Amino acid sequence: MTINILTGMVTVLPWWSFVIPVLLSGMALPFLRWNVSSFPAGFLSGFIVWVVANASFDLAYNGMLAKIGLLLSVQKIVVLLAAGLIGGLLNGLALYTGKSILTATTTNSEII
Amino acid sequence: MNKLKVGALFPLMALVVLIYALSITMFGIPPLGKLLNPFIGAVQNGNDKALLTSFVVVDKQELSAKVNVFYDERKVPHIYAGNTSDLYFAQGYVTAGLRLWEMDFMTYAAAGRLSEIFANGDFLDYDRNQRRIGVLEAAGRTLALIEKDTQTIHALTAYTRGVNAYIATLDYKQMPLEYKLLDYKPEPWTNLKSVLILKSMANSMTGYGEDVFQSKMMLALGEERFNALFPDFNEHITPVMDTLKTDLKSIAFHVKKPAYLDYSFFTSNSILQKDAYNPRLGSNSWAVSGKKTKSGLPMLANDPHLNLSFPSIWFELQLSAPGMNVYGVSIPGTPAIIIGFNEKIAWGITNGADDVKDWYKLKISNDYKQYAFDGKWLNLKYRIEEIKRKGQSSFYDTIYSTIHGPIVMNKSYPGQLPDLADNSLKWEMHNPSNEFLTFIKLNSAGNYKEYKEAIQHYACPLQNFTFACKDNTIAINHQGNMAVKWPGEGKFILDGTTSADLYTKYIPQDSLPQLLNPACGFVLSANQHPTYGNYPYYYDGHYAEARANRIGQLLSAKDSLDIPAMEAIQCDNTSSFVTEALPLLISKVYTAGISAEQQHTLSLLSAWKGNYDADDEHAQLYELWWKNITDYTWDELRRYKFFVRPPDDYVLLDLILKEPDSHYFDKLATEKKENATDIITSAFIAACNEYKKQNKVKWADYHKVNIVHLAKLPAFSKTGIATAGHPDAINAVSENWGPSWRMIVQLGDRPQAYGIYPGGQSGNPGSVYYDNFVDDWNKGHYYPLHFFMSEQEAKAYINTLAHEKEHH
Repeated sequence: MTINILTGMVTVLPWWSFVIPVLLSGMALPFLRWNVSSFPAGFLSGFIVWVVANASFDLAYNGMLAKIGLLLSVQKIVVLLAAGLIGGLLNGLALYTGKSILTATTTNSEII
Repeated sequence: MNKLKVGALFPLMALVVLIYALSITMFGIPPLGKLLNPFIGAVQNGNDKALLTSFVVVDKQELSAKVNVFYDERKVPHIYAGNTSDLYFAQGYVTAGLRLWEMDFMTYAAAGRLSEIFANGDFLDYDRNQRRIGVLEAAGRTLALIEKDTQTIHALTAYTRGVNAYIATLDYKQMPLEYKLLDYKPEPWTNLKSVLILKSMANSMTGYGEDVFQSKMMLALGEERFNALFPDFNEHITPVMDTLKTDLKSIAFHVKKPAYLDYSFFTSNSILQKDAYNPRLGSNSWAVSGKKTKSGLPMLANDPHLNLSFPSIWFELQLSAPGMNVYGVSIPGTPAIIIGFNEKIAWGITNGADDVKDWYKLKISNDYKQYAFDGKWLNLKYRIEEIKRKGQSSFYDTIYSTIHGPIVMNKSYPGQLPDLADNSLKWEMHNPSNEFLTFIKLNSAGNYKEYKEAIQHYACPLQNFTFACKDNTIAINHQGNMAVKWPGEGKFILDGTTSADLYTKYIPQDSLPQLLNPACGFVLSANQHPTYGNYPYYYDGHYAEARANRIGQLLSAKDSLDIPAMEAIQCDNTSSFVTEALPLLISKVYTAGISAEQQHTLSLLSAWKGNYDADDEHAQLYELWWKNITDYTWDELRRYKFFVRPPDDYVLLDLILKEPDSHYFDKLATEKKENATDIITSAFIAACNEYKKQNKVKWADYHKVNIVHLAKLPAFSKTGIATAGHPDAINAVSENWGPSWRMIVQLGDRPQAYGIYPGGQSGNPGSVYYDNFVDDWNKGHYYPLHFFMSEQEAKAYINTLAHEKEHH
């Protein structure tokens, strides 16, 4: 179910609903005692997923990213990086927000 | 509750803002959060898998039974339904599946609703113009008429339901790419949208006009010279109805200057903008009886010339239901097949090119509430059109109209032609008419009688219908609402204050130009004059002669035509104007006045046959030469600010031949009094010099065609395609228009047909089927069209295809 939400396969939900499970995971981090810096972890995983998924679909299907690049007057790699940036930002923020909900004021000096 | 920390608010808000920003269009960039999302965004539009199936069963609750659709190797759907309602439903469903964005977008453009899609007011003027020329209004009135015809309304409604059934299956992931890029969703289809598409075609076919230009030219030149330079007929025509031939001198069609026409008629002396409409949009079509074919079976050819776009205006398919089995091209958004053939007949259409659009100068009261008509003051009607705008409040436009039609340009909307301010527009396109019925009936017609019954409903645009039946009947009909006019009526701006200028009657259908089984064994049309000058009714239009002349020559000269011969004619690159003009021009050059090198060039050029082939090395030199001759001759006319175009090429040709000392050949800028020989010689010298500088050799190095995406997105267009052809050749390709469909049909027990169009069946820029036909089209290739005589045949063919794929 979570996988379906994460990959946009539950079509009635808006495009950003993958953020919800990530946020919830962020909230679970303190309980799991995973001492991981949430924002960089979230950013990195989001970045990788969006870039790799876009690139693989682009390769498997007829490549659209180059054409999108043409439309926006940029190279395909810029499109991929932009996708990664977006995915990373959203994921990182979501994970960080989730963790912050339970831990924000307890350790003010927590380094993010 | 106290576990939720305030410090989490910051990142939460940042997250919310970020999501919001990525969900909207900013600075013209589409919502990137959706577009670049790998699971639902643009990259998913590259998924062609849906198209790789060759057999689809359409099974929706609105259908009375399942409909089977077979897709052949070019993704042409062959639809088999149990009744016509299900058939049109499936046509809507299947067409939407491949071309939804195109048909939806065309209706926004036709209705003047582009401001709903494109923000920043880019299209407000365009939308206002569309509303004012009355396309949407005409569509509404036409729909009201159509609703009274049960056959048509059933077909339209079924089609509409089919489209909507397809739209219901879409979510963001599967939406056509253009919706994602332009950030909007498909709206429900309606019968009105289908009608809009039809009216939009009438708009582009009959929109071109020269009323202001010709009025000012008449005033500037006077009657004698105007009639000499801009005659309605010349001797170089091969008309649609070529009976009643007589020589020009016995015709009395001398157009008088209308009494009311004087300079006070015009409010401005401005430069006339180039018309947005293309007068060259036309087509070729001809039919040949078995007398002249190798097989003894009749053949028909048609290639409509339209603006070339991605997706193509045409969509190829076969429609089959009990009592009906037809193949051809349809226009996405409308049911039935527009050009094609069935088991017994084949038909084609070309634009009639008649002038059915006229302007009336009004006398309006100072308070802009009334206008003068036949000595009385009548009230101006008005309506308010709401133009919705993306991201802004709606714009409300007040559009006034008179008994003639709408006032398009006035103080609140100056438009492109200030001279037409406060003029009313009377346009056949405004009148309600049911052209759908013509095509619905043609699809299942089986003989000449049924063909005539079908075309009697056709009103606008006037078209030449070409017809062939397997019983060896061939026919051609210049069909539609052709008004009864007095000589010259419609060429100039008309007087809106009198009913004498307001035409109300139409030429009776039986008197329209037509031919049935002529002795010569062929009929042809290529936007040329429908008749010779002694036709009992006056008409004017924007006709082109060279192609019809050439088709006539080729068809007369050949017997035992076969399919390759027809293809060769359709792709013929020779201009019959050049074959007439070139020898004359060569003979007129004063060879002593040109250099030895130029003499050599001239002798090489004299061997040229007027063929604009891709690798031809003379065409461009000739083009430069003729352009110079035209420019030098008509320099007097070019002085006028209102100058739009020179007199017809044939007029100049006749002038060179018959009046080589005419004063027109005298260049105003020079002291010397030139004659035809001087002009032709100096034009040749200048052309040689220009040609040397241009440094390219082959015609296709100069001659390019562009196929442009409907929303003008360059990434999805193909521009600068090197191509053969010329507007005066049968293969009339140029700039961004050309043969949008080429079809050759041979009738018989089993029709044999070949066709191609420059595009692909899929409207998805991410599909391999988006533009896979273009190269073959450009090379003059044709695909065999698979016309299945039964569903079993279709099934068997698809199975062999699948088999071949496996064993590949």
